[in-house]
Amino acid sequence: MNEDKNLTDQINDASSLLDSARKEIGKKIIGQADMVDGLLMGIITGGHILVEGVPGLAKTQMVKAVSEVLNADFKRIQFTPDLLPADLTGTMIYRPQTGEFVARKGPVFTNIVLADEINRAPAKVQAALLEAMAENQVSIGENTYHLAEPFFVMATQNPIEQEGTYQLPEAQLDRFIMKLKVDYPNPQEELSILDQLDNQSDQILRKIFSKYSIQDLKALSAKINVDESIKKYIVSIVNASRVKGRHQLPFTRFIEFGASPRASIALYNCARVNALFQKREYVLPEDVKAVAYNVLRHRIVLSYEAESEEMTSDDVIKEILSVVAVP
Amino acid sequence: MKKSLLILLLALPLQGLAAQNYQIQNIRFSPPEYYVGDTVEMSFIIRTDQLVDIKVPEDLPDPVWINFLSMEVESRGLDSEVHIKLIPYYPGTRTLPPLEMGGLRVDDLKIFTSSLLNLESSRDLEGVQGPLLIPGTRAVGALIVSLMLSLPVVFLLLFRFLRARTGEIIKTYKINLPYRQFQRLIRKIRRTMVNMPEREFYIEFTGGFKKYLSTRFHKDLSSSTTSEIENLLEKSQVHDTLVMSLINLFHRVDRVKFAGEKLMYTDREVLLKESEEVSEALEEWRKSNADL
Repeated sequence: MNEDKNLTDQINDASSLLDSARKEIGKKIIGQADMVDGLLMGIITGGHILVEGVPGLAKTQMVKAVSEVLNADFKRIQFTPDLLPADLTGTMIYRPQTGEFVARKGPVFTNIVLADEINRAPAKVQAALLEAMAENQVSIGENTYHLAEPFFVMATQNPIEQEGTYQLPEAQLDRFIMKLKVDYPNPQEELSILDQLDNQSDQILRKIFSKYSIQDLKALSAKINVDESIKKYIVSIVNASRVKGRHQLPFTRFIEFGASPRASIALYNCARVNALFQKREYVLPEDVKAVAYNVLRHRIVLSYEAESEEMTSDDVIKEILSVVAVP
Repeated sequence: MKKSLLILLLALPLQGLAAQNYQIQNIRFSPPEYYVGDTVEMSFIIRTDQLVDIKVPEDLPDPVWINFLSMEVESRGLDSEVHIKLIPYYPGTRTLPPLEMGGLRVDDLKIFTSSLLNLESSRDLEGVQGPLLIPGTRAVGALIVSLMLSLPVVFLLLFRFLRARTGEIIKTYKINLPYRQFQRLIRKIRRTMVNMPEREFYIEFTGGFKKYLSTRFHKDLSSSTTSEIENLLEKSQVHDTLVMSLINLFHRVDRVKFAGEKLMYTDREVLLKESEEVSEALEEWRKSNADL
């Protein structure tokens, strides 16, 4: 993107680019617009996404399509109970010809990683991936290797068949910038999916982005103005999830643990990207609200009372947003 | 002696015939029914065969049981109409004492005086009778009792009416209160905006405007974003022009608050004026379309 252009023009260019990307992804993925936007948002913010949805909702197809459009390398890792950390990060192997150990990089050395059914692997494997996500680097033997740029992980979780799984600890869930929920397509979309099967040739996607375009979008989102009052609004939302004492706010009894400061950072970054998606040079409170569910969903630990009343994190977030005054 | 006895024997019936040679007709009493002690006017017509000078006795009889007050006679040829005012003091049928009316002696007049006492049981002592009531007393009494009985109902109806009316007044006052409060806020901002920083001005204005709209749309808008308010207004029954005006105000303020857009000092006055007009239009709309 041309640096000489003013911010408005840059945002318009970015918006056109994003629209093209969405259109291109739409050739392969019918519906799931929120999911596509969530993935793009995750990539632009430099975060990682946790996706929860039943099998068969084209999660893998989607991330593949995104990587194609982004012109990024893509690798899929199926998490299983016998997976080892080295299977992800890589290991040192002995080369007899030279008599030395050399590093053999694992599948995390790519731009986009699909960690399929992350909760099926043991905690140490999960921790290895999450560490790579947090540090953007991996240590193999005595050497530390930086991961590719951009590096984006989309981990999936199956909400059913919880038997024999290893639930991600809250501390590790917090490392995902957003948790997206994928729902079934509506009947019209499902019909379009069937129609699409006959037009396989249409599914060849153009590479809309170059790797550098993602960096440009990151830089552009950083230029989007966030007013002081918006920052205070973000902090108020996150703080509201931590308030103790049921007399102060009615929903506090449903929260065991509130969101961490990392949630404020995630809200801040995601709201900026959402403003970019809306072709705006500044963040509005509605940008914060738009991303609040995806950002806070996995960061709020519900209490026993919430579970007994069959309340979800989304219900509690709705309550929080309804009491925090908009600037 | 025998001759004179014979004449006497013959004369006696003739005298009787001459004495009874009149007819009493058309006896009337006023009042028709009267009681012991009542003043009664008795009138009747005396018809005679011969022209007799009938006149009021010089001395009216004065028996114990009756008091003659006056007597008048009007002669009309053979007929004479007699009016006697009397007060009887004895119940039952009694013959009046003979009245010497000039050439005629009237001695067979009877009157019947009614008695409040039952004649059959007059012998026995009866209990004390209740006081006699003036005509209409019962009706007035019934009316007073009815009024007394209906008083609680009247008070209840009055209370309900007053309560309903007071409720309406309070309701109207409460409904209009947010509008008046908003108007007061506008006036206050207008007075103090000279020394007010731009952001503070817009924050105070938005807060007051959202508070006012919250009461009109029955939803707390303090935690609503502009797009949420826009959705709410579009779903409401408010007409499009007014919705557009309202939304434009919010969008304009958002640009100042969040995009750092700078506006002239005069723009503040324009904003306040527009908000007054929009709120007035909203109130008009609300009144013509019941509640929102």
